[in-house]
Amino acid sequence: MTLTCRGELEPPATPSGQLMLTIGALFCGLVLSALWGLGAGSASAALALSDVFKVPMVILLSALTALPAGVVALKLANAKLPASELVNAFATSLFGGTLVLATLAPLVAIYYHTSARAGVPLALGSVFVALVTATLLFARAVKRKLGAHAGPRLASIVPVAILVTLFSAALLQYVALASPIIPADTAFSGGLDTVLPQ
Amino acid sequence: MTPGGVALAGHDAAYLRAVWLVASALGLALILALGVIYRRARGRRELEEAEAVLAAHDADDHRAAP
Repeated sequence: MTLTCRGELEPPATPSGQLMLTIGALFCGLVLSALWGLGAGSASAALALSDVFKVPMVILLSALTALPAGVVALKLANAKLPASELVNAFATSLFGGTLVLATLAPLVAIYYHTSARAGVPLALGSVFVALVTATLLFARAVKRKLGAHAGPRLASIVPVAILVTLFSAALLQYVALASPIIPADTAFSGGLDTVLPQ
Repeated sequence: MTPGGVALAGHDAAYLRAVWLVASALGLALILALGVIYRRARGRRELEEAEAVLAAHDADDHRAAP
C-alpha cells in the first residue's frame, strides 16, 4: 500500500526486496480480483466459484500478454527507466486497480440480487473505474520513478502508453474467452468483434 | 462459441474451451514460477540483510579501534 500510494519506500528496497514487492503486489492483486469475481458471479454458486479462478487468470494473462511489448518498447525507446522499475510500477498499479475492484465487489453483489436494471451496469462500471484507477496509479508511479533518472521523459512515457493499451486490448479478448464472468451477455462478451461491429 | 453463446472469430465452443485451458495452464505455470522466484528473492534478501549487519558491525569495530 505504501509503495502504491507514496511511490517509494523508506529506506529504498534492495533489488531482491523490490522483486519480492513486485511479485507480492501481483499476488495480492490476484486475490483481490478473485473477491470481485466472487461478488460478480454470486448469481449462482457455480459461476461464483468459476469466477474466483477466471477473473485473476484473465488479469494475469492480460498482464503477461502486455508486459513483453512494454519492456521491448522501453528498450527500443532507449529509456532511462529500468525495466524492473516499469514492471514494479505496473504490478503495484494492478494491485491498486484490483483493490478498487474488491472494494466495489459487495456493492456489485448486492445490486445483482436486488436490481434487474443496475446489476450489470454496476459490474461493468466497477471494472472501468478500476481500469482508470490502475492507469492513473501507473502513470503516477512511473512519473515518480522518472524523477530519480535523468533523460528524456517521452522515451519512458511511450512504453507506458503501449503497456496500458495492450493490457486493455488483451483484457477485452481474455474476458470474451472466459465468458460468462457475469450472468448476462454484454457488449464485451464477444470481444472486439462485438464492441466494434462491422 | 463461448459458453455464453457468443462466437469468437467463428470458432466453436470446444475450440475456445481448449484455448482457454491452454491459456489457464500458462497462467498457472506463471504463478508457480513467480512463487519460486519469490522464494529465491526472499533468501537473497535475507543474505543481503545479514551482510549489511556484518558490514555495519565491521565498521563499528573499525571506528572503535585506536
